[in-house]
Amino acid sequence: MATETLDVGAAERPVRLALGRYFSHPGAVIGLIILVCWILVTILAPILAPYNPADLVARARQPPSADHWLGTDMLGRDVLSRVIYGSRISISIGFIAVLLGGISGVILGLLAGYFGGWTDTVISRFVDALLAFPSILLALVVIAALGASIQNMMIAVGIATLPDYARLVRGTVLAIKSQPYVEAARLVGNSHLRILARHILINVNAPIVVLATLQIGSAILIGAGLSFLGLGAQPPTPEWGLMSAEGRQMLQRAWWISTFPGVAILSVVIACNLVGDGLRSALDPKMRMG
Amino acid sequence: MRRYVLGRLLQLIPVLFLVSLIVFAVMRLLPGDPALLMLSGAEGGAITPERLNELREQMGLNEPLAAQYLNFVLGALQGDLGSSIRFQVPVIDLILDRFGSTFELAVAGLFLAIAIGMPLGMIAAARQGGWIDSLCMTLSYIGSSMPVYWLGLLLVLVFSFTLHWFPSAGGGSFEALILPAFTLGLLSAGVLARLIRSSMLEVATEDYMRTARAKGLFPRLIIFRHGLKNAMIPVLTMIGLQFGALLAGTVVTETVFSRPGLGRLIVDSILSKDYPLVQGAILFLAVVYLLVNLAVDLAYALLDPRIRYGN
Amino acid sequence: MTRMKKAALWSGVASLALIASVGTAVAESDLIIAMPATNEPASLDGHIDPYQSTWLINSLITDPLVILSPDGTYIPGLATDWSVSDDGKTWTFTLRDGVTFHDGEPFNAEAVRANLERIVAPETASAQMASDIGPIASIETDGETGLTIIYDTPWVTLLDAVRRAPLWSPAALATAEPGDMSAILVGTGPFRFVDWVQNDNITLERWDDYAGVTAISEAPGPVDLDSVTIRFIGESAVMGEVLATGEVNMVYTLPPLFSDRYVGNSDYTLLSKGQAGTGLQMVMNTRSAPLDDIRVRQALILGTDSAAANDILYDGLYQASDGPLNNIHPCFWEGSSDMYPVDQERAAALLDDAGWVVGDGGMRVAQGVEGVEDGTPLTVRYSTLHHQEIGEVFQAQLRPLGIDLQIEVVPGPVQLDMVQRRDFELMYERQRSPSPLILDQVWNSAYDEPGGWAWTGYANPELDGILEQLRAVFDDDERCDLARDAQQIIMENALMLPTLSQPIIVGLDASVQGFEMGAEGNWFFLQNASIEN
Repeated sequence: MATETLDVGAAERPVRLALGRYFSHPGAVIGLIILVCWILVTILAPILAPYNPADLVARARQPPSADHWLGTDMLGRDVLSRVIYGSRISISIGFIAVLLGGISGVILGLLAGYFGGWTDTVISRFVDALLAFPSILLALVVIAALGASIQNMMIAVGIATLPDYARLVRGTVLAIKSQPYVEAARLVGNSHLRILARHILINVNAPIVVLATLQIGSAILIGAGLSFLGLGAQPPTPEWGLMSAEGRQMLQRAWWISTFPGVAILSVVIACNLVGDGLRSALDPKMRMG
Repeated sequence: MRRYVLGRLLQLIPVLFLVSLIVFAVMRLLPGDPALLMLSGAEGGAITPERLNELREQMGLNEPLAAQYLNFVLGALQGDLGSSIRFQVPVIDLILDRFGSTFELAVAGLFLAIAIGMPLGMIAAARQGGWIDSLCMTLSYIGSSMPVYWLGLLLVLVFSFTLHWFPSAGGGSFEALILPAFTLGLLSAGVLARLIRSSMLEVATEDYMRTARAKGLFPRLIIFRHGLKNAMIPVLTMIGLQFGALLAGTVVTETVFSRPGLGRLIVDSILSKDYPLVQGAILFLAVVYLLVNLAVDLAYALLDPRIRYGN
Repeated sequence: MTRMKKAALWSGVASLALIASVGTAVAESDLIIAMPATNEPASLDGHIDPYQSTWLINSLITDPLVILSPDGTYIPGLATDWSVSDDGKTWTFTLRDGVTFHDGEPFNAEAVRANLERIVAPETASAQMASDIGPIASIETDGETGLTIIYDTPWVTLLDAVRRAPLWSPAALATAEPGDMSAILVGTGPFRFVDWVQNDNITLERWDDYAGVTAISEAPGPVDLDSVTIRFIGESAVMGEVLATGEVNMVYTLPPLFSDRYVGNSDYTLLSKGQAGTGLQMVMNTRSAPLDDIRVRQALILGTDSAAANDILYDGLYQASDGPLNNIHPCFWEGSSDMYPVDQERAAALLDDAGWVVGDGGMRVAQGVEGVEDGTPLTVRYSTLHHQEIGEVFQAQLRPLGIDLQIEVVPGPVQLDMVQRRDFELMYERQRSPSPLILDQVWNSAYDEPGGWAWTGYANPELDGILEQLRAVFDDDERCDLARDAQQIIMENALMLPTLSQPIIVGLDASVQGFEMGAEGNWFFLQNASIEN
């Protein structure tokens, strides 16, 4: 139990210390490697993919072979190419949804925590109300109102993850607000905006980053669930959730159609969880994951 | 304690009000005229404007929005959530019919999550850093990172199609509950295992644990005796939150396993734009979720007296 | 937490007790049928629901006046005899004597009248059956076995309606609360309604007093089966396997790609039957660009290859549907098959001619198309309820031509809304009936109105005139000739993109004996069925 690091204190070179802590966890390193690989795949998709993901390039439902490393799907499209191009869509669903939910959630949390009083009451009750809807249900309702498409799915998942940020940020702001240096900044006559940006936001960014990393994984999972229910991406978009959902009826006889996109989802979500947990213990020594 | 309970109950009122407002507002944003939907089946039928207007009148759709909302809330307070467009029976009957099955599934899933997640987390904490720890954590990460429907279908493939141990679809029997409960439970078990491991390790760094260690107590014993009890408080909160996740998880699980339940009812009613049913069912689930979390908070307050006096 | 654990344990114990009790109650002759969850009825009352599955399940509970036999002829149900006047306006039925409903009420002409009146009454909100029964002018009965139905206009298709229309006990209808199905579904048929657990199953039990006197029953008296359970299954992977796992005796219907799992295995029987009708067609909205131009519409048909889609998607098990009526329809017009052979070159020439030229990246853009800004890409939106995979194959086939086919899968109510607003380009549509009258419903511009089924916006007095005659002509051959003329006009104007026709595949395990499939794949009879172990 590495209790020593606690006593060393975060005073000297916090960044290097945090990096050191991060890279001392093999899980976190593995997660980071997986994530970086996937990001490279999204960038290099046109070079890496052997075929156009929308073309019927071979007979349908062919098992993995030299020509088609991951086999062909229900229609005869190359599964490998679709998984490669699909990374662009699925990973950006995760990132954009979390960005949408994160930005609005953080703003709400900051306002509620900093101003308190009526602002806090209204925002907090609103956030409580949103929290009362289990996340996929909230996303379902939003999709029902907006219609099924990738853009709407991002918005829906974003809204579903918003309350978590608001709650987290509000709690942290409440703790920071009464610190002497914030009081001092206010007494010197700094504007609210300046205090929020310079003194508070900077101190809540660590938990936000951790939460956001973890949320990317769950956003991708919620997105896959929506695609399964027919409320997410529409065919022939090579979105991983849709691909594994479309291929599921052949799981027994053409396992590769559903399995490879499923494994892709699994690997990205695991990577996000590993990186998130690693970041948490690196940025906040008290919440170490070991 | 009584004051605390009362206070918490009072806090629920504005939340419930907002929940109902959100549900109502979103439903009015849905495209399509509910009265028109009610008149037209999927395969035909002529619709006259007179009949349409008559029905709109009956359904209260010609009234101003504020009045419609008031009717919705007043009805809901008396347990009347309107009538389903598709099934033409009271929404509350449909919900109560289905909720038993969903609750059973969520409770069974929670039970499995705890039964699997807790030992996994404890073993990992006790063997921190070793290969057993890595194995437990790998399992927990995989368990919580799979799409629900995919995990469900894999279980069906192995235990139903291949081994013929359990039925692949339907509700009503204990056997039929097992696969869906595992599908739900495994996901939460992963989350729970990691939480238990980290809170036990966190507790292990507290002063009294160090004292215990200084007194020469055997480390693993320390973890089980002192660590677990104190690690339970955050875990308990998490279980409350996970119960909500499990209720939500039934949306997909019930569809995969063709179980009759509230989750599937909601998905079907969203797809068929049966808006009174969506509205009622989501409101109902939100209330259940709020009550479960209230119960967890109260249990938490019972365990840790600081909470009821502190806040 | 201990409370939760206790609750979980308690529910487990309770469930165990439940299986123990169910386990001992399993009887010998219980038929368990798996049906796709999408076939689950809405209200289960065939007077109201517009679904084949509702009428089918109703037919197990109550016998109709006439039965469409497996060989396609009408045979006596609860009517022993019927005739229609030469002008097609007066139908006369002679009913069976001595039949009773499950509740002991007598079945007679007054009971039929009560049912017909309920179907057409506006407050019933019948979605389909009322328009199938038609504008009845009056009903005359002698109170016992004589029934006469009179129309002001010829109504030659009444038998097709009454073969589906369920007849419920008038006493039950008079007292039942709306929505209380066990009170409403009181019929004269071989099974009594027991329970409907929505999203799960419908259970029926044998009626021991069933007379078994309709022409479909081989022997009088109650049926052999003790009970029938219909289970609704959501996952097609599961539909494909439940027969093999032994969870059900019968699958109705088996997803085609799973049929090779059972073919050639003596433990199972597969029955397949086509469904006459329109096939799975994509109707075209001719009101706006690009589909307002016949050349674009023709190019779509020329550029798609439905036989290839059949091979890719269904191992060739679906059936051809080359025109507005599918190829197995008795009134199918053969010319549909030859008019638009797959011909990418001709399609490309037509598109060039129409002003849609190949732009950067191989996709076509407008250049001098009337009402379209130059440079607009050639996209066609296809909206469908299901079978989107056919659209996906077409999409891949049309891309080399430079057409971007966009697919959106919409739920039923959304489709309805789009159609009401005439806001679509290609729209999925399927009508299933061996009657050519479906052409009138879909293509007569008189039905281009709210709630009507003529969506394309195409109006042609010649076509409308032919379709109107369909309702008045008696002779089957003559009607088919008219229907063929109509199909030719529709195809010449390229108003729809034909795809394929979905067969019904029924899987049975070896224990099921005496199962009979109807003349149309969407119907079956259990009067003579039994389970033999």
